[in-house]
Amino acid sequence: MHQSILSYRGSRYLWWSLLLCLIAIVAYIVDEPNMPPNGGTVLGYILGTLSALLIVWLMWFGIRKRCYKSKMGTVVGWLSAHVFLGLALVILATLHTGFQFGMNVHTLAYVLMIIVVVSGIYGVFCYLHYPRLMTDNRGEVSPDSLMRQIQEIDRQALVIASEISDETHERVLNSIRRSRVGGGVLKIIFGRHKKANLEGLVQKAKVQQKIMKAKNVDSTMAFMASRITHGREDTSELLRQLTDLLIGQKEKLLAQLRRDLQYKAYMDLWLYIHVPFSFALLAALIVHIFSVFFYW
Amino acid sequence: MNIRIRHISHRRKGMVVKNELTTDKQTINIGRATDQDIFLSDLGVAYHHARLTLSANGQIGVASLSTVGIYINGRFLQSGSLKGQGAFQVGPYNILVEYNKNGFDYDITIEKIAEDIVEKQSEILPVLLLDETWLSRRRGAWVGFLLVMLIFLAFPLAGYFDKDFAQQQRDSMVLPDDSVWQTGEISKPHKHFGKNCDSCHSDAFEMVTDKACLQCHATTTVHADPEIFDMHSLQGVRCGSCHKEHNGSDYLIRKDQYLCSDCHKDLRSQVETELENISDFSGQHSEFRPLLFTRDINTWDKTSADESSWQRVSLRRPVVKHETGLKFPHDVHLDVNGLESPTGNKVLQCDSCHQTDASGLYMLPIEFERDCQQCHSLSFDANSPDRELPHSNLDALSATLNEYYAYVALRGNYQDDDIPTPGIISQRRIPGKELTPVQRKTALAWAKEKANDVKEEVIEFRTCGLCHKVERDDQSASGWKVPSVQISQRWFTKGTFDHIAHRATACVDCHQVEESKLSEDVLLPKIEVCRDCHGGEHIENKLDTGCVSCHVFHTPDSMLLGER
Repeated sequence: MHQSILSYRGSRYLWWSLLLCLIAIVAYIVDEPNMPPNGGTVLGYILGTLSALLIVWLMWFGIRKRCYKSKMGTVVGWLSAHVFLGLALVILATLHTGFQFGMNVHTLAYVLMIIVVVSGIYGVFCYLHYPRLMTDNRGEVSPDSLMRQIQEIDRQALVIASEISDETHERVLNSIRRSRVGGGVLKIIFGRHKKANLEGLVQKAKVQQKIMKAKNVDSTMAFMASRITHGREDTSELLRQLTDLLIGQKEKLLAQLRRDLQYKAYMDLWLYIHVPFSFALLAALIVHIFSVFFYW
Repeated sequence: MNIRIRHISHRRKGMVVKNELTTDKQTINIGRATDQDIFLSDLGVAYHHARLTLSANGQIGVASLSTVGIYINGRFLQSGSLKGQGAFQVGPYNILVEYNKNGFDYDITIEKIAEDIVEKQSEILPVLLLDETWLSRRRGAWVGFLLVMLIFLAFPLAGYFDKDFAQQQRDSMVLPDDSVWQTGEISKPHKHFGKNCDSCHSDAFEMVTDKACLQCHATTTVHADPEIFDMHSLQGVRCGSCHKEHNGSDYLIRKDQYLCSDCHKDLRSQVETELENISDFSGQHSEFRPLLFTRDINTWDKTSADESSWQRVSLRRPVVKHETGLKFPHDVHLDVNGLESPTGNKVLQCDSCHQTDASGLYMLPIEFERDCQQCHSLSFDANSPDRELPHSNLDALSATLNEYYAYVALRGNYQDDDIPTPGIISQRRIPGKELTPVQRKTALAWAKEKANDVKEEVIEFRTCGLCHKVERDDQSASGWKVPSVQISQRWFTKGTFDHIAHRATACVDCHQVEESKLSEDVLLPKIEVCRDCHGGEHIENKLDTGCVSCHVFHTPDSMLLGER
């Protein structure tokens, strides 16, 4: 039975984190440090040490999730703890600052931490949101299987097209060449691709263009459609099959595949903020600890 | 031209040549049609797909005859050119053209590199996952990590080791200096040198030393001499233990009660001292102990005066007296009906006699000339009401009287309403006529007697004796003894008090003077009076009065920090 990272083992890490926050907040309220609350009081040092250890442990998740042989808890458990303790870190670190902020490396570390946590919160949203959309999109069919189906359609289309005419064959070849999934970062994210265009056949297809516009289908398909209406009797059935393959089936599969890649990209994209910023945070944390003791 | 065209395939055994022909055509057609020079049967190839143009100088031109195009250098193109040697792909086939190779002008090798065009197409599929794009988490992580390290560690650290570079950094708007390490706002007094971190942070990984502070603050006094007060809490304490910089201006000087109560609440168990244990103004705090003159003023030997004559006496004692040497009833002076004065009836207020010093903090000690003489004239003879005796000097007083009466005796025309005077004294003199020696003798004898009479009267009754506790003293040259006046300069020597801050309060709210008949009365308020308004740090409904509201930490009479 699938279990959400948030409700893992009765949200045990949620309760641990809440307890940790509660203790920290009460300690902060009760503490009277004879100076304004800051990272240099006894409580400040305690909260700072805890926060630093937490950050190192949270980053350790990146290693732990790759240790497939590790018997140190399950990755789901680690992720659940990673999420809740990561949220608790915001409270601990904020209390550690004593609400003293400025233009310095210490506040930089704090800001980087906030960026990492916020991106992480978005990541949790993605992990909870997109898998369902992915299932809705392609059901149990794997992306590889989608790809193989598309290739099979291409092969069939080529055979049929070669039986119709050289021109049609050429069109289909071009269509195969141009039907893209993936590509650059933006193409993956936005799932938009150019459809096969008319190129040298623009003039020939002037008549068909009107139909294309009317039917609002891509240019290759418009060409096919025109061939059905104006074509020879014996090829019209082949052309119908061809359009069914390329319009009815291939485009649907392509859209599914593109949408799938898009969702997968959404689920990964936040990590390109989360991971680099967490390493910048690690550096800022090192400098923060180094500098406060260097200039003690 | 001699051209070889070979169709080959790579098998496990090695290269297998399927078909080979030679031609001398410089223009070679490629396509799926059977009449093509290079015949390619796969459906991924158009009937007339492309044309190869070979020049004698090794220049190879490729042009697509169909809209499908040819795949050269990772791109689909309609035409392209190669020099000497090169390959391009048509459908699932790779066509390698080599100039001057294997004894031919051109050697063309064709190999099917994929099952069909569809598979070929999938091989050159663009990336499908973000991981396969230029985006890289690892690269981003390195960039972020190193950038932060460079800007916030390497640069400031370089400045620490190279002071000239540090100055350049601080002068520059762009170069990051060690101010990026600053943990908080520097207090205002330290701001003018605050940009130079090493003004205070001289040694790496070492807390700011007192040496750095004493560069400016050498004349600050210690709180207690650690040699005398051998307490753990005084050992190893740095200036920075209390003075926490980088918290703005408000917190550089500690004002919290714990600063003092930490030791003073239980001082007696830690060190031998006369000081009482004190923890809080509202709770554990001793009664005030003003500095009072405690000797009997009449028997006190002024010549052997020592400091012990003045002692701090607790107001807790049932009877507290301060020997002033004066006779001064506050109640008489503050009569609401007023007093007779040289300028008529006058109702006195506190400030008629008591003035604050220039700072407004403390009251000035009472001075006769300034505060009393306006009413208490030192005149001694009704014939000369403006003439006054000198104050606080009996010899001068005698001399004044002797001189005055000798003068009037020799001058004549002196009227005395009370006692009949000899005629030679009261008569007016004829101008230019001198007294005979006998007359002079008589007049001066009168003058001496008169001066002595007046002297006795003013000293014992009329003038001096009115305020001072005068006694006859045959031992002294003047014949009387007027005890010196002991007026306190500062009552509370261990605390501070600000009269200006209390000006909204009437004097009598704290000083119960209306009923006082004696100058010995100590009219200072007890701690209870202050506690009406002031409370310790933890009392909520009163003025927050921590220790440093009245006491200073760096006690003025202690040794200098620089001498420690």
